[in-house]
Amino acid sequence: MADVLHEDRNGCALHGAIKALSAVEALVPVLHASSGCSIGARYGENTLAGSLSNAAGWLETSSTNLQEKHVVFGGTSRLREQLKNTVKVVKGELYTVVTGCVPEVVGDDVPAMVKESREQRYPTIGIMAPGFKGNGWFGYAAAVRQVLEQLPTLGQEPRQEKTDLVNLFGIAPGLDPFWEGDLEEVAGALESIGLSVNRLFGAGERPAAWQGAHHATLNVVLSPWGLEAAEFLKSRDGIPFLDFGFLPVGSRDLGGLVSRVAKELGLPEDASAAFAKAQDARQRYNLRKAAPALLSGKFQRRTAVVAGSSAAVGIARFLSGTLGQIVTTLVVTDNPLDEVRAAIVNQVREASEGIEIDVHFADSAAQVRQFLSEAKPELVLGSALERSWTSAHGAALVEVAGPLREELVLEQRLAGTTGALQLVSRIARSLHSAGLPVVSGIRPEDASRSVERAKEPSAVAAGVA
Amino acid sequence: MSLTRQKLSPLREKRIGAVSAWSGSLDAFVREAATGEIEQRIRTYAQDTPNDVEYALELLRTLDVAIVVHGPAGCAAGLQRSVGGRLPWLVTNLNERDSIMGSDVKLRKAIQEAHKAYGAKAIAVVTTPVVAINNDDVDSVTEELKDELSIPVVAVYVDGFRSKVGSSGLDAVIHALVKHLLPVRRRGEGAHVNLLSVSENRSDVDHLRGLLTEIGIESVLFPRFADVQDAAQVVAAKLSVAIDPDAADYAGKVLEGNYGIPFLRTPAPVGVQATAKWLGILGKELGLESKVDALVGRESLRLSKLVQGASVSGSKVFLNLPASQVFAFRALAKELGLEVVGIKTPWIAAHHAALAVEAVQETPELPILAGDGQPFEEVNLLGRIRPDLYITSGAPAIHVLRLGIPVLDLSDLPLLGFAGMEQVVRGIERTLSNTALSRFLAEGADEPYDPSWLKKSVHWYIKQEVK
Repeated sequence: MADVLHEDRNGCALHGAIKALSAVEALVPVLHASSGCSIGARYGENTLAGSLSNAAGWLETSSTNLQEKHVVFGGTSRLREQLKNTVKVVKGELYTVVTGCVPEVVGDDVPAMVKESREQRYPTIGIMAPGFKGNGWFGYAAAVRQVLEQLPTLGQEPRQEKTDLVNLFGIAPGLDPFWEGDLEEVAGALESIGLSVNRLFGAGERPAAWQGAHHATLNVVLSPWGLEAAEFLKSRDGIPFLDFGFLPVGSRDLGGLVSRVAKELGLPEDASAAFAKAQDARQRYNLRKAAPALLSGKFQRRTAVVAGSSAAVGIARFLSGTLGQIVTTLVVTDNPLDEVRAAIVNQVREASEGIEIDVHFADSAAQVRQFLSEAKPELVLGSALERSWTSAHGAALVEVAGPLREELVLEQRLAGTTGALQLVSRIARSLHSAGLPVVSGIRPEDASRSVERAKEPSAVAAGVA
Repeated sequence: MSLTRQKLSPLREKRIGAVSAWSGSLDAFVREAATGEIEQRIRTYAQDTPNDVEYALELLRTLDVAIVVHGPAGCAAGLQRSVGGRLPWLVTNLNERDSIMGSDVKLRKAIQEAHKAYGAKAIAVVTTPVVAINNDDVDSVTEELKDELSIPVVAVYVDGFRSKVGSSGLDAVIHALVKHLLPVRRRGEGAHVNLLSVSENRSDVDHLRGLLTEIGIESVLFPRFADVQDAAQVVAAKLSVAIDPDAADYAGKVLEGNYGIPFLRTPAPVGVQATAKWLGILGKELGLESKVDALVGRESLRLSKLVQGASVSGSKVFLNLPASQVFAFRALAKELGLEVVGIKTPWIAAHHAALAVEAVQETPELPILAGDGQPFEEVNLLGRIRPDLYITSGAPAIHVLRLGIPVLDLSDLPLLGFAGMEQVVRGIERTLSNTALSRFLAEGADEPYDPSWLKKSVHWYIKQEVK
C-alpha cells in the first residue's frame, strides 16, 4: 500500500529504527545517512511526547552527515572515521550503525566497517533501515530483529533457559506515544505473578537486557510488529511466543494476558486469578466513583478510534466491552501486513458490545477523514491529525496516537487498569470542554449493525476455565 | 538579469562563504576573515543536523501552499510540526521499487490530489535525497501540471547532501518561489515595501510590521507567511527591507536583480539601537524621518527605564543565535550589565567580522563556535566557561539544562524590535529569578559524553576540508 500519503503519521523505517534504538540506555546509534535523517523524526515527536532517550537530547545523534562527494565516491571511509570517533566521544555499551537511504542506494560496505570497529574491541553492530523499505512500524520491527540477530557476533553466552524470564515485543518507542508507561504496566503485571520481564526499552533497560533476551522462556507479543522478533527467536533459539496481538487496555484484558501467560508457562492458576480479580475490583471501584460523570447523560457517545493496530484494538475493546461507549468505527493507521488484518478485525469484534464495529485500514489522513465523515462520531480517540475533522464537526478529541499536540506524556499509559482509568478521565475532560449537545440517539444505519451476543465471561472466569 | 535562470539555487557556502564548522576566539575569527574568506571546514565526528530539506519545509509550511514532498515518507515527517497549519501536506511515499524505477506517476498523482482535495492556490513540490540521486525528471511533471491545473506548481530542489549549510534550503525555496510563483514582469510600482522575513517567528514579524504601519509604511510579507494572492504585490513593491540581513539576503538580491526592486541594507533589529537604525534607514529612504524619530524617541525612553530597572546585572551569558543577530544581542546584553562569555551560531562567514568590530576590541578571547546543532561541542565549551544563562532561539537545549545552566529559549517569544527588547529583558529576569529546574536536572546527571572528550579542545574534530 505504498500509495501517496496525506499528512503521514508513521514516518519511515529509519525513524522507527532510530526511535527504538534511542530508547535503549547506553546503546549509541550511529546514523549512516545524509544529514537530517533523524531530525524529522524528532520534529514529529515534538516536545509533547517527551524526549525519547534518557540522557541525550534529540540533536545528539551521532551521524555521518553524508555529503555529495560520498554520494559520488561512496561513504564507507566517512563511516570508518565517524565510528572511530564516536567511541571516543560518546560513552556506550553497544554502538549500532543505522543505515539510511543514501548509503543503501550508493552501496556502501557497512558490514566491513562494523567488523573493523569490532576488531578494535568496540561492541559494534550494524542494521539496515533505509526509509524506502517501509514505515516507522516496519522499521521498529526490522531493527529489533536485526539487533537480536547480530548480538551473537559480539560473543554471547549460549542459551540457558531462565524459566521465569519473558521478553515483551511489539510496543514501538516513539511511535506508540505511551510506550514507556505501557511497557511498565504490562511488565508490572507479569512480575506480580513472579516472572522477570525484559521490557528491552526505557529507563534502566540496557544492552545487557538484549544480550540476555535469548535466555527467555517465553516471548509475549503485543502487536503485529512484535511478530518478526518473536518468530526469529523461535526459529533460532526455540523460544515459544504468545501472540496476544494488542495492547491490554483495562483490567479484563490485562488480567486475561496474565492468565494466558501463566497458562502457557504452566504456572499455578491461583496467582494470576487473584491478580485479575484484584484488577477488576480496582477498576470497578473507580468506575463506580466515576458514575456521576458517566451517568451525566453526556458521556456515552458515538465513538471512533484512530490509532496503530495495537492501541486501536486495545482501546476499542475497553471502550466498547467495558465502558459501554457506542464504538462504531475503528481506523487502523499503522498499515499492518495483509495476513494479520483478519485477526485484528476479530480481536476488535470479539470483545465489542452493542453495535458491530466497522474496521478500516488507512494511513493517509485524507482517507481517515473520509471514514470519520461517514461515521460521524461525537468522540474521536486518535492523533492530533484528527483535530481538523473534530473541530470542523464539533466532536471531542482525545489524543491517544502520534503525533500528539496536547498531551505531555511522561509516565501516563493506556495499558491496564491504570491506563484505562486515565483514559476515562481524559474522555470526560474532553467531552466536557467540547460542550457537545445532549446525546443524540443511535443512528439507524448503526442500529442495523447491532449484534446479538452472549454475555462476555469475565476475565477471571476465562483465566480459570 | 535573471538570477534565477538556473535550475538549482546557489549554495550558501559558494554564494556568501558560509561555514558551518568553526571554533576559536573572536580575535582569530576576525583575523581569518581579514583574508577575505573563512576556509571551509568539516567535522570528523558529527551529530545529526537539519538538512536543506528540513529548512525548506519549515519555511514552506508558513505559506498558503499545499506541500508535496517527493520522497520516502520519512522525508516529510518534519511537517508533523505543522498539524493545524495553513494547508495539509502530502508525501509521495516512495518505496524501494520507486527508488530504482522512478516515480513521476506518483508525483503527478500527489499534485493532482493536493489540488483536488484542498483547493490550493499553489502547490510546492519538494525533492529529497533519493529523488536527487536518481535524477528523476521533476521539472517536466511540474511544468505539465502547472498548465493542466492552471495554478503555480513550484519545484523546490533540495537534496540533503549538496550543502554543508542546511539553511541553503531557505534560498532554494526563495529561488523556486521567485521562479514559479511571482509574475515574470513587474507592472507598476506601489507605495508599499516588501518586508523580507525568512526565519522569524510570527510575533516578531507582526511587531515589526506594526512599527512600519505606525510610521505610515504598508508592507507585504515575503517569503515567510506570504499569501499566494499577494505575489503580484511583491514584484510591485517600492523597495525590499530584510528583517534578518543574512536570512533574507538571497530574496533581496533576487528581487533586486530580477525586478529592479531596491534592496535596503539594514542591520537586524535587535535591541533599541539596531532597531532605531533599521527604522532610520527605511524612514530616510521613504522621507518619513520625523515619524521615525518620534517613534524611536518614545520607545527609547520607555525601554531605557526598563533597562535601568532590570535586575540582571553581573550575570554571565552564552548566546546561541544567528551570526547576523548575535553581535547586536551582545551589545544589548552589555547595556543590561550582562557579560557575554561565549557565542554559538549555526554558520559564520567573513562578512560577520564587520559586525564584531566593537566586540573584538573589548573581548578578543571570546569563544566563538559555529555549527548547526552539534551539542557535543557546546557541552565541552560550556563546561569550561560555566555561564549563568544560555540564550537560544529554537535550538533544543536539553544538553545545557543537564549541565545545570538555565536556558532562555526565544523561539516562540519576541526577540526583535522594541517589543523583543522588552520581552528579552523580562525573559532574562524571569529565567534567572528561579533556576531550580536546571539545578535539579544537573544533580547526579549522567553525561553521555566520554570524560576524555570533555578534556580535549573544543575544535578537536573540526578539520580543514581536503578537497
